Amino acid sequence: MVTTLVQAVINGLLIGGIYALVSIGVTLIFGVVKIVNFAQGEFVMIGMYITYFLSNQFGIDPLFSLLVSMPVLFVTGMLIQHFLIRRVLGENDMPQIFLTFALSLLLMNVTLLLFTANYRTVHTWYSDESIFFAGLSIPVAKLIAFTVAMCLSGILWLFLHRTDLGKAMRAASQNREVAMLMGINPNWVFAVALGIALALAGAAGSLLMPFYPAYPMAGQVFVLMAFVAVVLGTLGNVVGAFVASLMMGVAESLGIQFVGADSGLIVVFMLLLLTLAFRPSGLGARRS
Amino acid sequence: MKKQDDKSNSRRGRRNFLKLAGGSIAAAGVYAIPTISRAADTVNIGALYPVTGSLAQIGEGCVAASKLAVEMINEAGGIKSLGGAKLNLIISDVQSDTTVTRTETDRLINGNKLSAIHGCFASALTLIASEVAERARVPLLTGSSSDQLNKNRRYTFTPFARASQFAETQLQMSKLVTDKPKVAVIFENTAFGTSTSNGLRELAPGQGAEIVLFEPYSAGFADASPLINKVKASGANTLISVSYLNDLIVIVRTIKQVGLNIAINGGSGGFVMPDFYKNTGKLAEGLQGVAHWSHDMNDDAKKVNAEFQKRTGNFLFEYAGGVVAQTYLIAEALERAASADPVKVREALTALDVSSGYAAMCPGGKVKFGPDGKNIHAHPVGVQWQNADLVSVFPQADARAPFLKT
Amino acid sequence: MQSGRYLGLGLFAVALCALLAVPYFVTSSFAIDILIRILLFAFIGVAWNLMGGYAKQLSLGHAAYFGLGAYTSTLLQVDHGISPWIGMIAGGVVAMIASLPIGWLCFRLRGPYFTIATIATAQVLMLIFLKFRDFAWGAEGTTIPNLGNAPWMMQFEEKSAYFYVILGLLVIALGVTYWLERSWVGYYLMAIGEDEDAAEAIGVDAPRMKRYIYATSAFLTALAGTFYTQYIYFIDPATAFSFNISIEAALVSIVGGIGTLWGPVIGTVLLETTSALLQSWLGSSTGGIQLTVYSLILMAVILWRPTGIMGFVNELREGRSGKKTGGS
Repeated sequence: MVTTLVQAVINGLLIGGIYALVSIGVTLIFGVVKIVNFAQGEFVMIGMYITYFLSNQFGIDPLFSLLVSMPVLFVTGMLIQHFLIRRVLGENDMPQIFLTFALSLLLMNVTLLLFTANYRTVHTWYSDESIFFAGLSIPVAKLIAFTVAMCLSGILWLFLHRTDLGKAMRAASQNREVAMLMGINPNWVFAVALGIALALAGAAGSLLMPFYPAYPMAGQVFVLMAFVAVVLGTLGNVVGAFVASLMMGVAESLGIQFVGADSGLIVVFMLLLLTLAFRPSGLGARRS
Repeated sequence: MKKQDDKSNSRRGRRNFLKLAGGSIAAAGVYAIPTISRAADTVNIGALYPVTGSLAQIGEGCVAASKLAVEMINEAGGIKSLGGAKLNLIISDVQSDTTVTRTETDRLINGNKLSAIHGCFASALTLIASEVAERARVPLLTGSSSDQLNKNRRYTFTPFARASQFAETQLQMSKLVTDKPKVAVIFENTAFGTSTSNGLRELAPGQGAEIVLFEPYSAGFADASPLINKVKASGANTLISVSYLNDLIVIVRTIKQVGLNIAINGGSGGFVMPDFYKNTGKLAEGLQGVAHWSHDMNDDAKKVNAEFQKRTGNFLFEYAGGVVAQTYLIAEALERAASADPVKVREALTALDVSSGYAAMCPGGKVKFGPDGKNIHAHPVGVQWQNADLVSVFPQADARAPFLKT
Repeated sequence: MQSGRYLGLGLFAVALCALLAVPYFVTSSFAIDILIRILLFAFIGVAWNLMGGYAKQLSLGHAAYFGLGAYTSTLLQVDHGISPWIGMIAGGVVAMIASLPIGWLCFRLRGPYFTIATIATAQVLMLIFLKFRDFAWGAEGTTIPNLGNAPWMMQFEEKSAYFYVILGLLVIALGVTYWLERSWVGYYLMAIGEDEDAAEAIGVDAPRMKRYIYATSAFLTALAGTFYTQYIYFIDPATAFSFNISIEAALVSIVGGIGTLWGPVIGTVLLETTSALLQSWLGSSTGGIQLTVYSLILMAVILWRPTGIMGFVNELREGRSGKKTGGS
């Protein structure tokens, strides 16, 4: 019983690491650019496909694909900010919501058109291996994914708190007008924020490939988790999103284990709705 | 202000009148073009499959099989009682979507003079298509296993095993591995999963199998570990998973990751497709499944399989093989009815009793429809992945290869 | 001028008569089907527009009410033999009641988080109906019993009958919108849509107004759910609570002109016609082409004409007449 519980928690944490990569991106974009990126999941999916093709065509291991998927998506993020997002900033909600929403639909369906709905998988030597001890099994691929996710999150934290650009981003996140007065160029900061967020999504995609199949709708599940984590962890709060993601992973895992395997999603949604009902500003909100 | 409003109203009214009228005329004009019906020496058959959408892989195979079957029939001389009339296959994509199925079935029936239809693989889609066909009085043949298809219908015919029968076979197969099977049942929570799993639950006690876990899950999960964790905790020695292809792949791989040593019966559907093996490789070896049709059943099946393999590069999987048999059943009915009238074809189908030829290509080799459209001889066949091929292993009478205990 | 207004209404009446006559000229069953789809999604779009267009509460969870309407009438029909006409109204009432707690929950958020919350509620409903098999057939769904031609049970052998039903529903919804645009309720809603805080500052009871419009929007959407189920003879959670319905409701309104009377109608005609044409040209060989085109259209509209087609038309008119009217 205890073993089952511990195993469930471990499973939850491991996948929570991936959720964290995705949710940090969403919260970063929201905090800095003040828009919700409905298409975040699709960038995870794109990262997956990039990794798949590198593996399929050139035999490159997904971990090395990180070196490709992250920069590619970083640049993509900056381009999207420059050509699309910039044009709907400052207007009312509708364009902002539906622009990224339309982007999400577009990316999903273009991928469907180009690559069909077939599942694409990547097999690495560690794809199906696990570490066993004390009656617990820890899949190697997921452990690697979790570790890299932790490292990337850590690097991001350092960036935001120790570098000038990072601090500029946090400043713009807290108070855009004052930041501008201090000489921070918002468009540049936004572009970097978007680039980073998409790069993290791409990383998540690469890390997922060894144990998860790529298909056009693959991003949907992750973006859902990400949104809930972002709300739970307070909009714009990177550490909050991180912690909330891990919590969500564990909650989902425990939900499946002890409530029912079809209840994972319900548990997650309930968490979201309860948070909205009683602590709409999330668990990480500053009391003012 | 009011003046402005009134002017806007009138302009708006005019503009919108034009738009509405234009829209309806355009729609009417474009879509009122009826499909040209063929000359008198062909007979139209409709085929409804999900060629796009989430079930596209299967749909494509079914379409290929449909075309192959029609070619084979036409090359052999067509429908002799109609003076050698050739079959004309009209295919429609139901896009793995219920609304589209409704529209397409309608369009297919109303745009063409059809004698019969076959489709749609997925239970939910087939249910809708059969409703439309029923009201339009056109016979529909299908390999879809939902038991609901045999209720309150006169125009739906199912030549193959039903979901409840699959359940029985799976339970029997679990006894091949161990005498006292402790079965964990996991199933996707939509129509396919629920109907099969219900059958499992009802029949288990009678078959001497104990169900230690009965767990619906939401298809398309991010991580199967919690679910497999549950399976492990239940102490089961057999896992029956009623799932579509995609989840099966993740489940099988997760089981390996968790290090769980358990016999797996993956049911039918996606499990018995070449794609499953492609995505799981050696992990699939020894895994059991059930099917309503298998390419090693008899010589006819092997012949069709060889031809299909030449064309598509994959072996002829369960549902697609069934499609070939269904096409031949339709041809057989046409022969008997000596008419292309769907009502007469339906009557011919009810009187059908075949035990040879491609029309009888099913486990057991006999087709005769009862009053509810069910083939009274239908039963499933247990299959197993051996050496990258799917072979029939159960029951004894249908086995073409020895069962491998894993 | 009075004559201008009567002219507008008169033209509307003529258009209506033209539509009423359509089934006599259009005999292709497939064409009628397309028209029914157009009218149906226009109706759903108009219902959505009441809340999303005028009050600017952008819900992507209207499928929740569609599904509730569908299930209510089907349960009443299959389990109790009650006519779907009554069931349709009952479904609308159920939806209205449901909109209260859902609204209470979701209105606590603004902007995109409101939208996400509405998506979540529709998904939760779908999951509930999938899981609890005992009261509503669970995942398998059910078909409507075949009654042949039974007008009192909303089943018709003649397809054109369905056409008239949905046309009637659309006219009602348009009527509601028309009335709303000209009433104080409408002005309050538009004020809330423009700037909720400012509206409250001048004394508008925003929460109450939002509740009202949400209930109205939910009621109408539920009617569509019943109609749809009667039309395709089948219901299951995936179809009834389909996210695609929520998307299309918003999509047709935005493309056609958010917050305008005819916007959703025009948007639907454009999108559904494009979709049908695509299917004819490309056959069915390319999955995803429809939504790709839809999303491109949506992006184009948002980037260049967020007010949609009708908005563009209105701007042209205002530009031409040289007068600038405030707002909208």
